[in-house]
Amino acid sequence: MEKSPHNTILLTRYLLGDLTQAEQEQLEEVFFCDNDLFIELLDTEDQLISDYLSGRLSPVDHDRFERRFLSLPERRRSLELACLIQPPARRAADERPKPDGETVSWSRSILDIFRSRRPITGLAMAALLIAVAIGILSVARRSSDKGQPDLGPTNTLAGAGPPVVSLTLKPGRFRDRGNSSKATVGPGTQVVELRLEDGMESYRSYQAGLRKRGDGGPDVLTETALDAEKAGSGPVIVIWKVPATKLAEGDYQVNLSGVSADNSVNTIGAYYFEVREP
Amino acid sequence: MRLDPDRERAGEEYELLRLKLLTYFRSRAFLRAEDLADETLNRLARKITEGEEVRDVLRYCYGLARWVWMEYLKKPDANPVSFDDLPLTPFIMSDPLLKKEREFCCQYCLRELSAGERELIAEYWIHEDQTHRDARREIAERLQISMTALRIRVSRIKDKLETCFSHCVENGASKLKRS
Repeated sequence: MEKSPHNTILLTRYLLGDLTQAEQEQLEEVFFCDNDLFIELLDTEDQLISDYLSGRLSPVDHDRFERRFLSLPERRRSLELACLIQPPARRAADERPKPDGETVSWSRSILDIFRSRRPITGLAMAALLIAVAIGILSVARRSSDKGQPDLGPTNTLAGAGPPVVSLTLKPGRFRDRGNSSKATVGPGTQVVELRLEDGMESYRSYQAGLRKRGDGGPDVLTETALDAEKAGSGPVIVIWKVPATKLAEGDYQVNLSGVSADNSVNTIGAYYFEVREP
Repeated sequence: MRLDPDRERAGEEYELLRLKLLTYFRSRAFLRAEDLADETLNRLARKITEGEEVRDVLRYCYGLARWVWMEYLKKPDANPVSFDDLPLTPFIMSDPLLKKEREFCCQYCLRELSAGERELIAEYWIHEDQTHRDARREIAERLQISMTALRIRVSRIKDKLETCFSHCVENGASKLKRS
């Protein structure tokens, strides 16, 4: 089977568990017999891991990735190993001064460190590479107290920021600065989890748009297939995991809509929060 | 009947086959994928030694994997789950001592690799402006090996690292520090 963009999409969907059973079995039969395709599958898995680490996965794919890659003990151990070494190694690479008049790529600087005569530093850089190879999990998920911004437990060095920052937001007609929720996003933060309270009515699906207040610009991010959860008699909570790379310091507004069974879109409300650096 | 007439390539085919089986069983949220993968390979080896004619080993092995999985599902103690059913325990490492111990294990295990193995892993993953596949093709060409062989080598190194790391974490880094 020749490599094609279609292959990559198919293989990614397989790895994320997004194929029907028949499609899955069909693909498995093919890659059992086609070594090139199987190698491509392994490469796709590596690329998926890289995308997860870089925050390039959509929130839905991000959740699927964590569910598929972190719930199995052997993969979890791999990710634990990677999680330990990625943040300090990446920060060390980013902070490395460049020689005068020369632009040193991040990757080249890491290779240089790895080949340095200082074995400890070289090993630390090699550890970063292993982390990328094995896959990194640096997510800590925890429900926040309502109305209070919650910084997830940290597994990075102090000052880097927690890998996941979780905020529970209620809709407001206008932003009251004294009561706005604030997310402290550091260099180690990968995801800001917005938990949007909808009320008691649940929709078939949810859509949301994120914009920065004050600059009059378009939405910086939209999502058309958000999931929601409902615990007992509590309100419906729509969960949107926003890559931290999309959130520069500032004030933000999320416009949430619900999609009914007849595909009509109903405005639910606007949610406000701040992003600040540590 | 062999996976390949060449002994070395046959070994690579075997390892690749094992990876395929692990992928197959892991996609079914099976927590002990290695057990079923080994079971499948044992049955394949038994069929071969019994003299059964197998024209297409890979397709035959796929069929065996399906059979092994169906047999598992029929067992009284089978407990098939979906990924949604598996607990997703957040990874929390807020304890600085715990984190430090694991960092030690990571560096210790890297030192256990040969210089060549560390070099290969580094090159395998560092390629800022290339896709993984393009960069690895270059490495394979330079080493004058196939992409399959390159992948197998890296998988072996990863296995060594993960085994070492698990052992270090489970038995305590302090024991290794004293040795």
